[in-house]
Order: sequence, then C-alpha cells, then structure tokens
Amino acid sequence: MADVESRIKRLEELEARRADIEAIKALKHRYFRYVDCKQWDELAECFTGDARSSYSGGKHSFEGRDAIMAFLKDGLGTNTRISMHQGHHPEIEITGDTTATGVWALQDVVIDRQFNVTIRGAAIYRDEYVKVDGEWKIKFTGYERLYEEMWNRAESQSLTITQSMFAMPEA
Amino acid sequence: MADLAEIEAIKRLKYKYFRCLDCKQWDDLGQCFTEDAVTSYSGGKYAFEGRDTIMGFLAKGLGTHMISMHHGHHPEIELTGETTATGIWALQDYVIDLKHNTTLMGAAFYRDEYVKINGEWKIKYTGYERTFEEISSRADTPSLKLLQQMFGKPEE
Amino acid sequence: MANLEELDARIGRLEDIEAIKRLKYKYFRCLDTKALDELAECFTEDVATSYSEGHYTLQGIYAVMKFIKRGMARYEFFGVHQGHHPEIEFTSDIAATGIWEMLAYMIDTKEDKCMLIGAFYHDEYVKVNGEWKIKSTGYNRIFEENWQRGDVPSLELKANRFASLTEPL
Repeated sequence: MADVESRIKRLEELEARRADIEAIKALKHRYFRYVDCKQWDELAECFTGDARSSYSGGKHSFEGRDAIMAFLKDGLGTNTRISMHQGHHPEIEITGDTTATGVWALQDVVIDRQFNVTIRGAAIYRDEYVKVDGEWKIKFTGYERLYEEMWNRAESQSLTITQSMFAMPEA
Repeated sequence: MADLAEIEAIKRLKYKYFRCLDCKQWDDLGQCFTEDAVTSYSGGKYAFEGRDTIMGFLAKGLGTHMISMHHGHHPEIELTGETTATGIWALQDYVIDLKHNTTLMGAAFYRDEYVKINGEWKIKYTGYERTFEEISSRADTPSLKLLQQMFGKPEE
Repeated sequence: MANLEELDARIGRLEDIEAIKRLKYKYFRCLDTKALDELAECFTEDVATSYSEGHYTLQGIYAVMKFIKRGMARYEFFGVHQGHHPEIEFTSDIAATGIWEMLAYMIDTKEDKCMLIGAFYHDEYVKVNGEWKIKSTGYNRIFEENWQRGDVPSLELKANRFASLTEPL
C-alpha cells in the first residue's frame, strides 16, 4: 500500500513539473503575442511588479515593470513599426516549487515604415520566472544578440507591404 | 507520463544542439552526440561518421567569420523503445558569411535518431533534406549593415 | 494527495497538449512538403477555414482541400510555413482551442517573387476516436510583404526540393 502511495506521489510530482513547464512556455508565448499585437496592458500582466530586464546584452536595462513597459511602448508603441518576435527552443528548468529559469532562441523582424528600414536579427534569451498566487510571471528577462542587421527598404524597388495589422497613422 | 518527460528531454537535447552550434560552444555541442554518431546533412552531401569527425566539420564550417542562426521547429518525437527514439524537425537557417559577404537562407526537414545512455539522451544519427536554400551577395543591398554580432570583428 | 482518477485526467491533459502540437506540426510539414493527401488527415470532415482575415472562408474538407491544392500544388511555389508559440486551452475533454504565431516565407520561381508573412492562427480542435483533428482554422496577418527576386541580382537558389518535379500534383 505504501508502495502504491509513493508511486502516486511520484506521478503527482512529475505531472506538476510538466504542467509548470507548459505553463511557463505559454507565458512566454503570450509575451511575444502581446508585444507584436501591441497589447500593452496584457503584456504588463506577464511581469512581476519588481521585474528587471536586460535587452541586447545589458544595453537596455530596466528595473520595475513600469520602466520595462515604458521602454517597450516607446520602441513599439507606434503603428509605424511592425514587429514579429518569435521565440524558439525553450529550455525550461524548474528550480523550486515557485521558481524556474528559461533559455530561448529569438528571431525578430522589425519593419519601420517611417524610416523605411527593415531590422532583423537573432538572440539568446535567459529568463527567470516566479509563481505568484498559482500563476507564473517573468521576474527577469534578458538577451544577448547573435546578430542584428538593418537595411534600407528602398533598395528593393518592388518591395511592398500588401497587408498590415496596424494602419499607418495619418500624416 | 514518463513518455512526456522523455519527449521533453529529447526536445531539450536538440535545442541545446542548435544553441551550442550558433554560440560556437564546440565542447558542449560534442556532448550532444554519441561517440559513433553519424550525420547526413543536405541529403547526404555532408556525411560523416564519428563524433570527432562531425565536430571537426562543424567547427571548421562555422568559424568566427560566420554568423549562424539555426532554428528547429515542429518536433515530432516518437519513442521507439525505452532508450531509443526518432524525431522529425523543421529547420530554418540564416547564415551570414562575413568573409565572402553573402547571406544564406534555407529550410529543411531533419530526421534524427536518439539513444538514451546512462540516463541521458544523445544524438545517434542526424540528417536533413533541403526544402530550399538560397544565397545572395550582401553587396547587392548597399545599405545592409550589421548592427551587432556576438563574436566581434573576425580576424582579417 | 490526488486520487488516481484526478491524476489520470491531469496527465491525460498534458498528453493532449503534446498531441495537438504534433497535429499542427504535421499540418505545416505536409503543407511544405506538398504531401496533400496526408494533410487532409489533419482535418475533420466538416472543417471550416478563415484564412487572411476571413478573405478565404471555406466549409467542409472538400472545399478546403481544393483551395489548398490550388494554392500549393504548383512546384514553382514553395517555402516554409512555421507555427510558433502555441497557446492551447481546453474547453472540454474532447475540444480545445489554439493560438499560434506563424512565419511564412514563400518563393515563386515562375513569377520570380518572394513573400514574407507574419500572422496569428486561431484554431479549434476536436478529439475524434482518440485522435485530435482540426475543426476550424484561420489567421489574421500582422503583415505581408512581397518583392521581386530580381531586386537582389545575385540572389540564387542553391537547393530546391521540387526542382526536378514537373508532373502536377
């Protein structure tokens, strides 16, 4: 009987761990969707109040959710910028009942319709997560660039945006 | 339940493979393979046997004048036994060659075989077949410029 | 401690998440390798689609496969459709929804054009005889752009899975 109980307990632990890993992946997936859909209130919910960020190897470092959100909104809050941020290869480690780390591979494309440039690149994210009241949140997020490149879209004469989720603002 | 944990562990192995490849962490990358691993990249164009030979090829092909991004998607992992598995992955790769000033972009489907040795999954066989691969001179886009790169300026 | 039934149900749900991801991965693989018969296996008979913000609204597997075949059967038109960031929610033991972010890069060697698309898929899935299937699927684009490959004179295809194929699908 004790053997059956301990097996159930072990299965429970395994299940809880897998459920946490899936929940953390879903958190980061939402983060990317809210960034690209410019849903700033929902994006703020992904962070703890005291979250920290360190984008581009520390070039853009911020403390506190408000400061992080101000930076992101400043960069992508305008309809002149279309972005696609995609995170791959999640290596999630559960470090405690309410703590975890994650490594992700980022690919991003930003089209700036005001300056008519495309910026694209790849990076490696290293995150820390905490579970607050049963929900996972981002406590720290930072990335180091593999590369980032930029080019003037006018050099591809036929390049045309045929569809966009965000209408260009009135001139 | 145990199956799900194994599938996740195999995904993690492949994610580590791609990360170490792009970060040029050759020792860690070597750990992903069995000693007798076999590769068959680009439909057999680059076929190697043995971990040391494979690592030699990868390290030589991706020196610091090469910036590479290899992303693997859509893992279809099948457990074929307690210590064996197969995997299909969709690859997207983007490689900047600073010496020849070219950009390469491509996609492929990987078919892998994995074995579990002393509790750890390793790559026993890996190969891919290209959907497409294209290459262009970066000079064709005069404004194209690198803003950042992980490995700094390559040696002249 | 949970009873066995509850634990079984929770583990089953995790397995279903993995199975739904596998279904969508198969969908993208079949699309890109033009394995259209295998692609049809991903759908229910009464599948509904709403591609490109509803521009292409179709009902039933016959209509949907006809549309996909018309778009994808040409060997000169190929590329990658990648689905990322799955957010899978269950509405019952046999029904679920999924949001995916898609990147698609397509090459048309006949028109000498390229296109790049970023979009969000919104799917519904049902479990039929133990197997998950796509009941409805559609996407809204973040953006879509296209350009002539000739704009980059040196751009050259070095490998092409479909280069030697000429018989139409």
